[in-house]
Amino acid sequence: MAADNPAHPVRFPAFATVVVATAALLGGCMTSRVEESKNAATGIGAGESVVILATSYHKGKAVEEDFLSCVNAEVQKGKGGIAVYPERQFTDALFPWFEPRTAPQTAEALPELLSRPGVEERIQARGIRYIVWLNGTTEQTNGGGSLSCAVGPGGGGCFGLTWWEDDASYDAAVWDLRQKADAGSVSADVHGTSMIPALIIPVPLIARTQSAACKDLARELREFIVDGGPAA
Amino acid sequence: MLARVAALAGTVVAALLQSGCSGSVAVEEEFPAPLVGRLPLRVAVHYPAALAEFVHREDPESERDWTVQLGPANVRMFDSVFGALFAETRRVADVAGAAGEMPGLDAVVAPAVDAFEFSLPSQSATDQFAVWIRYNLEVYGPDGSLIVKWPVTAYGQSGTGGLSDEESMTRATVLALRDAAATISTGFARQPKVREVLLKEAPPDGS
Repeated sequence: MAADNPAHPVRFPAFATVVVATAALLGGCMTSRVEESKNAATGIGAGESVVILATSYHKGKAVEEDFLSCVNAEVQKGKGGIAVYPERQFTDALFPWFEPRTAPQTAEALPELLSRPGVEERIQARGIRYIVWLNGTTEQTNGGGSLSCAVGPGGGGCFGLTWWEDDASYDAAVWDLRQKADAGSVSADVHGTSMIPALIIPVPLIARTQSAACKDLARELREFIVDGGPAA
Repeated sequence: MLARVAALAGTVVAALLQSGCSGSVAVEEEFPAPLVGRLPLRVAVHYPAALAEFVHREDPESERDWTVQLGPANVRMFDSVFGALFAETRRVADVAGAAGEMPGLDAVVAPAVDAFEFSLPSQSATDQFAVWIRYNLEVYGPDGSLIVKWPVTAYGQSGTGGLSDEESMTRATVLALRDAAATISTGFARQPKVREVLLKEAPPDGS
């Protein structure tokens, strides 16, 4: 439309830029719930670290790689960050005991695993105090609407509205390698609705549920480990 | 001039189309030595050419064709496992001549690839690449008699998040190789025939 007006040849791109920038600042609406369940006192000393692993894909749908990377980064971030031992270095050093097929299924299996030749020594040498097992996925649960775009000699545009809902549901089980026990778990559930309304220009309003779940879970995980919790 | 530009453009387009229609995986991964108790056995290891040079080619219907070069990775994986599992190992040219090449050996192991399969996200309606490998691990006595033929099934899967198709397929293949290594390193000494014939253990009650 504005392109038809030779007096204002740049109005349309400028308008589009403003719309896109506004959309980037906005997001879809989200609700989140974070919970924790603590079985034992926690805490982490100087020189100690945690290792964050994905629960075996033999137990169900695997955690997304990018979520695992995100939690790894977020847990270490900032002033209250916790040292995270690299996952691959851990599984290589303890090979074959943390492969998808051989990894312990419950914390009750820890004493037997740690009694195997060299296992506890290698964990202690690396200062690893906790194993965090991540489980969960982000899935699209609902969606609808319609949006169509067309391009012609005089220009193009889109019209309509499409929307969808995502549910990011993750939990992290924390095993204390010093106590050889299950310390508890934290979980984060984020539900979000994204939509793309379009009146010539599509305006994506995206609910970044996975990213929100990552930040929520990582923050709760840090507090879970650092705060002592129930008396030992 | 125009014809030359058109020919060049045609070549570029053809190359792009060809690269988009084939996937190639060559596993460069090193495999960690398993943290397991070493068995007091002197073992000769024979890698048949079919294992050491194994290449899988497949052209799934309506999909790009795939080439998975597994041979060198097979050898690196088994070297890593056997080197940690046995007190002494030595690679030999064949099973029949192993005793001559390694006097005083306790056994000869000869792994082989029995089957290799994969599934693509479009085939499984998931976002996962999956790889299955079935090995046969044949164990012979010093006289060349077969002690046990142990089928080892390995599986690996990898999501597509943030990875190219080749990277996902490579990762699934590496995980399958690690799975095989884990199964063999933790299960070899539990094989009944290995316990009875090589480790001279009495069979458990009831077996």
